[in-house]
Amino acid sequence: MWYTEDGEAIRSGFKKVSRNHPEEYAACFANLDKVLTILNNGNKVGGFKVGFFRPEGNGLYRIGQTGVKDSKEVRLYVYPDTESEIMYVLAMGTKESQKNDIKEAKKKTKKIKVAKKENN
Amino acid sequence: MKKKLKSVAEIAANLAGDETIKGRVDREILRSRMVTTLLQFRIQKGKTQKQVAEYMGCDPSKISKIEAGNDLQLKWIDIIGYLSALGVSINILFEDPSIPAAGQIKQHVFAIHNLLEKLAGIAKQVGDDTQIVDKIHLFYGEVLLNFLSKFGDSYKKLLPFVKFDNAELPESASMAKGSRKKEKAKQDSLAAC
Repeated sequence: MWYTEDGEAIRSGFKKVSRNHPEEYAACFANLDKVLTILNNGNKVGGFKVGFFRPEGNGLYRIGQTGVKDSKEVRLYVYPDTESEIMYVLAMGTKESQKNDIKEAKKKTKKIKVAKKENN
Repeated sequence: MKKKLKSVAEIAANLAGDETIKGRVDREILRSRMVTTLLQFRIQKGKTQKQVAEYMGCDPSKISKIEAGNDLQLKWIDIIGYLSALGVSINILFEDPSIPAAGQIKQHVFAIHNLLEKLAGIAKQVGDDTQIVDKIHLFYGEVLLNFLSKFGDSYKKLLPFVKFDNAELPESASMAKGSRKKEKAKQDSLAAC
């Protein structure tokens, strides 16, 4: 059973998006819920293709949204740890901030992987 | 200490530092139930967005947009096209809570009857396959038993409130009435002691 973890999230991006683009913010999280539903139905990460759930490399995925009319492109970055079935919610931002968001989210992904290795 | 699992909406609210976000995300998830179901069907059937788009005669980007959006943006024609591409048929159940319970029961009885007819039709089609016919036969029995058992449970709850003329008292009700009388006599004698 997959569950969501937000302990490693870069909070500033979430606060900014939720304040400036609340509808897009909610739509992104609703799409995260869709992904979790698919995973909890026994599908594997990478075993299905959905347009709004795309790999960004190093295990990082981005979740987008199109549910809001005339919306700002907002992206939610997550790291699905397939072994522990934990969906780490890491970063969020707009198209303008995506380069930096991906960079920071990848750092977090690496940190999670290293910590897991050390614990094992 | 066991870690409390948080819902997606709770996580969203926590990260935004705004409790009102939870309601907004929950509402959006609720508004996306149909889309999520469509998406689940596509993945379950192992079809790609391209295959669905080809069947519907549209660009794959349209399928991508449908799947990333919510139910409010769905068009009826897209739902039909999408499900047809997957070989899934649609059954719509209209539920009007203002219809009295008796009306709803009638609707359900007719619906069950239609489904039983469907099963009888299957038995007719596979007449030679005794295994399937036997299973359908057994299932008919199961349906009847379930119905009688559930009907009996509800009927028992109804009986204490029904006033019968002695002439039209059904046997079961008469027994129930008799047992109530016995119970009352028992209580009276206990009180007298």
